[in-house]
Amino acid sequence: MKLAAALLALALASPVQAQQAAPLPGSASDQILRGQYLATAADCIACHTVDEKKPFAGGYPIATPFGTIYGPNITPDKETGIGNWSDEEFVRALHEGIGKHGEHLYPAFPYTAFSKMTRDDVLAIKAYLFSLPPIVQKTPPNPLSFPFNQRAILAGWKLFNFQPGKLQQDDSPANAVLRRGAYLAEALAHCQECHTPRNLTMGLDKKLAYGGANVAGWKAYNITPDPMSGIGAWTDAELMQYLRTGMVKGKASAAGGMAEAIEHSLRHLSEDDLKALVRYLRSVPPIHDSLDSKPRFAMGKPATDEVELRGVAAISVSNSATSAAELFSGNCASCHAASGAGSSDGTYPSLMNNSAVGTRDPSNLVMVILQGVSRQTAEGHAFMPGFAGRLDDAQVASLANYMLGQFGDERSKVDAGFVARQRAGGPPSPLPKLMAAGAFAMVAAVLALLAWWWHKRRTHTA
Amino acid sequence: MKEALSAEVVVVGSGVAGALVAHQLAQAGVSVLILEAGPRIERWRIVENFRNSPAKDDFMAPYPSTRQAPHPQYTPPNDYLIFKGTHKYNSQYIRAVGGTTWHWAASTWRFLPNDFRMQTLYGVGRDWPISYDELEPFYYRAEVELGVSGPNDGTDLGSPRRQPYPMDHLPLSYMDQRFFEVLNSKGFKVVPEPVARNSRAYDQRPSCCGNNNCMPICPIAAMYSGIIHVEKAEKAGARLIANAVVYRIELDGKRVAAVHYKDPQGVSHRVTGKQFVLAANGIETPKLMLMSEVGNSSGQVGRNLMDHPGTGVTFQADEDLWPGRGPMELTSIVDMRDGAFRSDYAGKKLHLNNMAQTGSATRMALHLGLVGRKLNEEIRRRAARTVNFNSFHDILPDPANRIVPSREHKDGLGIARPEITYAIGDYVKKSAVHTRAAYARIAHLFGGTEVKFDDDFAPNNHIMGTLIMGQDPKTSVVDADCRTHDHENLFIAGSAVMPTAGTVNCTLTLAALALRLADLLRGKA
Repeated sequence: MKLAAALLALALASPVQAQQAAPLPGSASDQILRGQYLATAADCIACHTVDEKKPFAGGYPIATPFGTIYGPNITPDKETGIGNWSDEEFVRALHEGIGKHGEHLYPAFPYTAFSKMTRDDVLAIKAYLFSLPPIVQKTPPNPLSFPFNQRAILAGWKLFNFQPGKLQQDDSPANAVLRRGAYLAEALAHCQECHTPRNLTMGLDKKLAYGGANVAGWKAYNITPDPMSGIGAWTDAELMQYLRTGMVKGKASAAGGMAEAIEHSLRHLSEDDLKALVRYLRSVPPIHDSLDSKPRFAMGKPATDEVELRGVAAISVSNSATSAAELFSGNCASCHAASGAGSSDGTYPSLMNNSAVGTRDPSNLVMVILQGVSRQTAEGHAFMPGFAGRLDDAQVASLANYMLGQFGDERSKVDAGFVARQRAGGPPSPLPKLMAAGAFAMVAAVLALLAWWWHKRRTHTA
Repeated sequence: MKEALSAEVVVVGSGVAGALVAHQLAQAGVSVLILEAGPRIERWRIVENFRNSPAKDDFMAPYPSTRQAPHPQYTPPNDYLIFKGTHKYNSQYIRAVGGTTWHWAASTWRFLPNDFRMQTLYGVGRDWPISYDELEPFYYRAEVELGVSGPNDGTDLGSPRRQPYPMDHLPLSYMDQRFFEVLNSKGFKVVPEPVARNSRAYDQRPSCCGNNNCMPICPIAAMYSGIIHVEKAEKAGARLIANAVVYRIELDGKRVAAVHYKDPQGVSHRVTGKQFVLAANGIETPKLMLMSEVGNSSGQVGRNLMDHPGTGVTFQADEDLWPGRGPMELTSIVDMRDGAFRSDYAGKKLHLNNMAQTGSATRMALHLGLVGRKLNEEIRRRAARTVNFNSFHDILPDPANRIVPSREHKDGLGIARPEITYAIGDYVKKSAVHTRAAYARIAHLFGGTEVKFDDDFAPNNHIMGTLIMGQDPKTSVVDADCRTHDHENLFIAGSAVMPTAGTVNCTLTLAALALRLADLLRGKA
């Protein structure tokens, strides 16, 4: 209850609250406003919206190693949304990962995190969602391949990878900020879902919490306090600025999923919540990679190839480049400058001192070249076009290697095969292959586990 | 064995007109084949060509002419166009996938309603068979397709609009702001230009970042080019064959049965279809039709060639203005576009050139024999103070101004080169005297010294006329729908159909006409 009261206070101080012109009378409106803030912190909109004009009406495709999962309609429409869901059903979905009809939910829905939310907060989110206009939009079926289309298999997954229940925290008053930060990171903003690597069964590898992971071709970097491999060398102000704007000159700029998380969620958090989040991230166990000797943002030197290029190549209609420097000049230098230093105000980021380039994992560099950047914040719309349709795999590899060598970590190298895999959404998970190999044994084991779990659950209920 | 080439709609030419038609139809599920004479060049290659070329002022330099599909080249000159008559029509156009809008100022003006009724109102030129009001919805669609930014602040450009511009206009450069302030206070009307250039991320293309080389090449595609719709058309299912030089239109009775193209090896290919759209600009299209003896019962094919003859002024202002910040053109003077005077002399639009003057400043400083620190200072001073204005004059359609396939001169594939007879009459010359006076006044307002007038009627590469639109099949080539009077399945997309030149760049008008044509063809396919 204390926590709920603290939350309410925080929510009332939030900018989301401040924007509401005429609050509804009574406690119902307080609950809805709190729910709106919590739904923003939990970034529900990201996976439950495909068309901006139809918020929360679902249909957003989430690529998984097993096939595409569509975020469902969570508007209060009774037919296609969740208008018929009771409070208990809604709480059960977030806390236990179980749908209205008792089916197990795919963990693309991060109930592993939401399970740690208080019941009050869950119900506030429900109240907010139910205050929105219902939108009729059927969610496409999830075309997963066998055996992943068997929801029963999820029971087995949960056994290994899901610990329901609230956060275990020190509830002393001195610990309030850290407690709030933990609640934000672990429960609401579900940071680990992207930033913690997964084990063989696609569960979070708790030993490497926040140590960095690959998600659909993008690297969610190490955000532990390690000064070389993580965010230890960032100041609090820089981290807050990053979470608000996605851009810290000389450090990093957000693209991909992080840009989305900042755009839809993190930038809307209150000052106090951002502070708490940063405080908490600084408190998690640092994870150091022994190959890291400098932070990713401390890499690179200005390019000087532009001068050497001129007057060498003939004027032609050839579409094959004579050098990677030429590709860089023709495709990148017009915005990022011939030296790679970008613009002085950071609108066009420097490629040196840039965490996506100064890395031994060039995933994000290649993804940004292919897909570009789109990040809308109070600072404006940061936009870079993707070059996927313009450059082939070998050209992207050549360009990426040039940038890694010049502006980044020269130990990193990519080849055309890597670019092709990135185009297809990142390296394939070993799980489907493993599953195919031992499909029957696995299904049998899962069925056995399922039987045991059902038995246990019934006993527990009784 | 050669592949049998066929499509419901065959489009010849992949510039903005052909690409818009192809995209609209492909989106509607129509099978579309685009034949482009020139090669496919990647943007980055054009950027590198521009950076490697010493001829920075020659906007054709980054687009090398090819053997199979030559186009005009000026550094060094390839003399592709054969000139007859008193004036050289030394126009620029690009034969490459995407066409000539690879390099342009991206000015996307609408015509004035009166530009459509020159004969009725002023007793000169011709009337269009359609009105401004009929074209207005298509103007807006074209603005959305191309991504036009313009003054959404209530500035009246004389062309009524029902919708705001898709984007607000870019901020004016310091120099443009100064001219805006001073000239508007002295009786001129200076306005921000509507341009197909992004002022914010639009259509998956970034905002202008001010490289200031729009007219050789926009390096980041903030400026619209025909290639945008070529690629969209291809995504929607249209097929494009590059290096396919159409040289013959084959008739079957009154209908077009096929077109024939040569590949770079000179091998001929026959392409059949139901509808044919010629969109190969106002020089190559009439050349093709005349070579094929198609559509010319009026005798008007290739005639009424127009452009916007330009004059200019260059002077040194008595204050630093720093041209070259932002895109190459941002503002225009529009108070001489229309009025009763048009029965007597040409309307015109004047525009301030925002191209960086470093090159001209350096040439002049070297010419003065300066060296060392003095040279540097002089370059800086001139680069900050050199002002250049240009103009478009509304030329009248004159059947004597024409393009024909040359009898003597052939290109690399043995196809006739264009021979152009062109003269500039008193209607323009009289107006140019008045323009000169306006230039002198502007130069005076900015304390101009070294005032140099350019009275040579420079080409502005707005190739109009030559396949003129009209109600009467005896005096025009196409009808109000851009369909040739002679052949019911042969259509023209592009500025060649425009019966008057107006005072503004023709691209938005030709884009609007192309979208209107696409609607018609969609109904037929």
